[in-house]
Amino acid sequence: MKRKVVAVLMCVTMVGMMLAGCGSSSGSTGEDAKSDSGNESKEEVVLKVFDAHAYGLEQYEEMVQQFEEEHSGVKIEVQHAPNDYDTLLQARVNSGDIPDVFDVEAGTKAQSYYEYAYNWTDDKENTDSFHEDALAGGTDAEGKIMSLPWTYENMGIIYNKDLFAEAGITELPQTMDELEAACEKLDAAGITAFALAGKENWVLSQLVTHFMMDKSLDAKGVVDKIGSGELTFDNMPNFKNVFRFLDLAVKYGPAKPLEVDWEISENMLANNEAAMIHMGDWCQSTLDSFNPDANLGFLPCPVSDKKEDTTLLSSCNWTYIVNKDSENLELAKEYCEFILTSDMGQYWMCDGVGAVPAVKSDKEVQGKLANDAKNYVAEGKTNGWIHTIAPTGYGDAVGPMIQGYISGDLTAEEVTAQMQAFWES
Amino acid sequence: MKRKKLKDFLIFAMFVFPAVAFVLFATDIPFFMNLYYSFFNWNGVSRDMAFVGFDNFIKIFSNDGLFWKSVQFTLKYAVFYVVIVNAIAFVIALVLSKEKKSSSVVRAFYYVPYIISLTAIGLIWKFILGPGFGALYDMTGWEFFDWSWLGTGKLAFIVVVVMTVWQNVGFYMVNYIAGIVTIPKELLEAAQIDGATRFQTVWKITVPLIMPSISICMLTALTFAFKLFDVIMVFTKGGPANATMSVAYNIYQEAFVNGKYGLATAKSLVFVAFVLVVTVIQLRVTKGKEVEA
Repeated sequence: MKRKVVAVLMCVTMVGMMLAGCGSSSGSTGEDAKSDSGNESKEEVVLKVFDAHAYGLEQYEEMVQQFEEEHSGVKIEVQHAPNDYDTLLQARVNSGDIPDVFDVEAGTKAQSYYEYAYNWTDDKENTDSFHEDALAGGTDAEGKIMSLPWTYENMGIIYNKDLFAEAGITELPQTMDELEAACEKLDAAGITAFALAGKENWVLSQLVTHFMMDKSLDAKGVVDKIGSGELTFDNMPNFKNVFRFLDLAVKYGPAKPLEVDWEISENMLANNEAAMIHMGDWCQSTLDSFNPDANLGFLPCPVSDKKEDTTLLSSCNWTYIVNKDSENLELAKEYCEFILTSDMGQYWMCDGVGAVPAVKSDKEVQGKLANDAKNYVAEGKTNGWIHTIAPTGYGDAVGPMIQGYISGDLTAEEVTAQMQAFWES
Repeated sequence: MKRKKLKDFLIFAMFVFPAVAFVLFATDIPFFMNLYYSFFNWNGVSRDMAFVGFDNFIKIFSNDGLFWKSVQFTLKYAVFYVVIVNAIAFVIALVLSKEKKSSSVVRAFYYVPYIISLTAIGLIWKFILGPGFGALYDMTGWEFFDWSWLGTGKLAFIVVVVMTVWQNVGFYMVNYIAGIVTIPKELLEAAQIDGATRFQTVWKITVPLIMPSISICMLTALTFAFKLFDVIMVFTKGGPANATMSVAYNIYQEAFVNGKYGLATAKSLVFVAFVLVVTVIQLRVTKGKEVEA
């Protein structure tokens, strides 16, 4: 009898504990929802921030400290997520734990989050401080400003100036023929010309976009025209040259092209083992860590026989969203403005990350590559990014096709047909 | 009498209910939510979901080459993995089940890879296949070491099989040893006296008597192979050119990269049904062969 009672009691407590566990969590969210006016209450206000990368962490820390000092009683809770940010953010949104401020990649990705986003259109005072073209990347279909831009990111071929000089290349190649000639010269000097990161789907799929670009249409125009069927991969003027480019990269590259990951690629470039890679200026800090003295620069990607076709693709990729249902909306807006526009924010972007901020700024930028790209931007030689506004899953669909071409399993015609099929699906 | 029944039930409930509750929250409820989502077109983020009926399932069966390619890969992998890992583990277990001082040390060696974290294993194999094989090629000149192991589809498949077998063989070995040591010594001695060869003793006595171990090992190996995900995620990312795309990785990509949550859940359901059938058949077959000493 006694044992039975014990058994029953244990059962009850166990179940009770479990239910209590569930109950308390749901209870607390209810309370959160009620305490709307967090600003006035004396209790500590916690602002939940989700940062989808981990660039310039030290400066970010300083920035957070300053914000907390200026706003007593406010605690900033940052989650940095350099890996799999998308999965993590999605999980948080689905479980109702939406961060007050978070950033995603502009384009197709960002648009899926816009229903949670605060609409900045009427905050002229704030939005005017950004470059107009940068702001355009954060608008929805109706042109409302739903997210704010971070920094300009540029991608193209990054080349090693010392190795080019060693091979006696005095003028940068601008056409496919000149590129081939440059490869031959490098080869003759015993230098590996290319270290294309063939293992990375994202690198390959980004490389391909150079050959899709039509300067008169820019990124959005190209994507629209492919979508409407006016432009196909068969009739794109420069698309076939991507295969010539890949042939060169394989012929004058490492023996096992599909085993080269981004790290090997960047390492070889920085340590004078390879002359060219395809990458963007976001890798500045990694390159510096491999060899701070590397003498590197941007080379707009040759895509045809015409010099004026070369492309450097530039975009404000990361875009910041403020949760419109945030309990501390005003504070969240203030924080978002603080990190993107204030002196401290500019210090983070220019010194910590080494990139050109999207906000109008006179500050000197640390990154060599970013400064290099600045010149091309000034000359109007850059275009936007295609891969971020392409249909979702672009990178993981196109990367394997290009790998198939490199390994010889697919012909150029098959890749072209598959690209078309992907877009139409 | 009635009281006894009630008491039995309560004791039963006390032990079983907490576990059931946990499984319910962690597995069963999500499973049914999965079922629910599979009828919707949802990007995994939005508040709105569009009901599309069986469209997702139709899409899988009519127009999803990559999914079926990944099914093909997973099946091929499962066959190779289950056979190889069990065969090797069984042989090692036979040798190491003898009571010797050295055998416990050697057992530990085989077990170590099983407890190392996957990230470290990824790094180890990256080293073996990169600088390791490079140095061996320089020394021996054998072409074998110079192949692009991770850059060629067929070779990458072999790498995935070898790596996972190497990693997990210790686990199956322990299971087999546990089975082998329970075999009564008399039976083995009797067989020897009757003039059975070493091979005959293993085949006619050891194997039938450890059938429970075999069926458990087969089952774990099979489910491991079907669920293959982490190794792919850390090591090959499904590449090169989707040659090592496992079903689980394909589902993950569909849900979190391509943003087609509904389609991904439908795929996972199709695969659950498939795995269920295969494991039931497998269990029936091996259970039927179990004997008692």
